Amino acid sequence: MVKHSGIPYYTKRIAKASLETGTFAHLLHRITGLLLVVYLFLHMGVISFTYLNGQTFDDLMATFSSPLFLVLDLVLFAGAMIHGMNGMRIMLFDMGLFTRRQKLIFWVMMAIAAIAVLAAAYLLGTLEGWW
Amino acid sequence: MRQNIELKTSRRSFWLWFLQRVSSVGLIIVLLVHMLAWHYINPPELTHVEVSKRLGESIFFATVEALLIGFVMFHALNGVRNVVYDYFPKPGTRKIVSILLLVVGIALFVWGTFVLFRLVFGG
Amino acid sequence: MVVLRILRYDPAEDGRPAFREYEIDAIPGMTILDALIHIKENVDPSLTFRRSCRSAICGSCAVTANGKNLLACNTQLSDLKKKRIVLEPLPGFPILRDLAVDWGPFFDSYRAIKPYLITKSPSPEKERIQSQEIRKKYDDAAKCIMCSACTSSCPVIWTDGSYLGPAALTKVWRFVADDRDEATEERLALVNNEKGVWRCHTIFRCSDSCPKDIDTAGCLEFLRRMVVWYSLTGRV
Ligand code: HEM
Ligand code: HEM
Ligand code: FES
Repeated sequence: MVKHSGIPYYTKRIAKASLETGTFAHLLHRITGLLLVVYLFLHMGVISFTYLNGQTFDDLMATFSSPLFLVLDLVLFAGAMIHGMNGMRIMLFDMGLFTRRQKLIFWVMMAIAAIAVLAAAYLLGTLEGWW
Repeated sequence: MRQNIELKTSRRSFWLWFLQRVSSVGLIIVLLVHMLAWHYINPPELTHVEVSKRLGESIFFATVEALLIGFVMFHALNGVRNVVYDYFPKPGTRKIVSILLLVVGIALFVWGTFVLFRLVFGG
Repeated sequence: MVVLRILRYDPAEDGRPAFREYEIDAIPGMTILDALIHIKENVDPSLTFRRSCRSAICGSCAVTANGKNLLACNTQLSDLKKKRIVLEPLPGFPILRDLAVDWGPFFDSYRAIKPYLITKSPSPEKERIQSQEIRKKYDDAAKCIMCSACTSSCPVIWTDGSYLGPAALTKVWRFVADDRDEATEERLALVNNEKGVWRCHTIFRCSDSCPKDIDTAGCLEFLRRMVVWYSLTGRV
């Protein structure tokens, strides 16, 4: 008898399975969720400076308003939208809706996320006077 | 070889799952308000004085931010717990990680709330 | 010409599982099982696989073909639309030999959820009547042939063998939905834990791999809502 499971096995097999919509959505949800956690910790660290040292906070925020960071902000917004819309999709299933239509619903949700990100980019560009 | 699996009810596992959904619904609203208001729609200048001023002026906004800390802390750390449970089946590992996440979560929640408190009431 | 690439493992030889390739003339209508039988009879008698009914009823012949779990006996080579077909034993279970896996863990989970009718009221004179409407509720779940394609396709099972898996949980829903069964609370209590309904992440590989087209994930969600409702009202 030989083992046919475990983390090394999972890694190998999930890469292939990720081409399927459901598995793709699951991995996307997981990765965006974990990235948001990393951001959350960094973010709370930065916000702490409002209390620890206000000047440092202002300096950091000035750095974060450079174009590079503004684009990263959009990436963050996209991550949150993708995770959020996917989370809504999962909760639709939990309520017993569309379990036979999961592939379609995934792409519908991603389309909504894409539109939201475009809208955010438009808002940001307007504020920054890009157009 | 036959193995008997013991299945005991765990109300805690229900509550963790259920609160993950509750916090999800909460986050949809609260996080959207947070990101739009600080960054996309009519944002203030992000200096500690301006941020503090806006939070101090609006009870609504301060409440949203307090809710955000609560929802996101539970949701994020319970999410990490879910991921850990998938990849590490050993009960010992799970227990240690669960306790660690609980401690980190409470500490960050208290610290975050304190920082927010100072911002709202002018630090 | 079709190339079958089969994962071989012989416990007597004490090595690691390794692929061996077989070239066969695919005739129209030939199923994966036909091809396996052809190889065993004409090319390599040591090839081991399970089958019994050859008509998608017994659930013995589930394998992984090109990454998807399916029944070898009701999938034609041409259905896979590939000239190279990779056959592996079902993931998540230990390999006994070649394509035959150890289903011990699968049936341990099955036995643990009490897969039989439980009644408490005295038996009526004749049979216990089942209305058509109620029967419709679990039509889907009752189609299960216990081939384990769903449970084995679930990524959670691959790393956490303590999860009961979609097949066992679908069976719980089958009895919970049946109004002749009188142990709803007991059944829900059995799956209200980290081995049960809460480990499902609605990845949908179970529904996708079901050879009987059961909405497995949907059944699991029905069951989960029952547990939520019973938990909120303090009955589980
Ligand atoms: C915008 C609103 C959000 C919604 C609607 C949402 C929804 C969800 C849902 C429904 C789950 C459960 C998935 C499952 O059971 O498989 C989940 C998991 C998770 N969420 Fe969120 N979430 C949101 C925001 C966030 C944020 C801001 C973070 C991080 C700071 C986060 C981190 C996570 C993590 C780490 C998981 C676990 C992932 C997994 O199990 O694969 N989520 N989310
Ligand atoms: C668009 C990008 C974002 C901007 C410009 C932004 C800005 C801010 C600002 C100015 C504060 C301090 C004021 C307050 O406490 O309300 C803050 C706090 C906070 N933000 Fe964000 N935020 C962003 C995205 C996010 C995201 C995606 C999350 C969740 C993952 C998040 C979670 C938090 C939390 C928990 C606090 C409270 C921290 C504390 O009090 O220690 N923010 N944010
Ligand atoms: S041989 Fe019985 S189901 Fe395929």
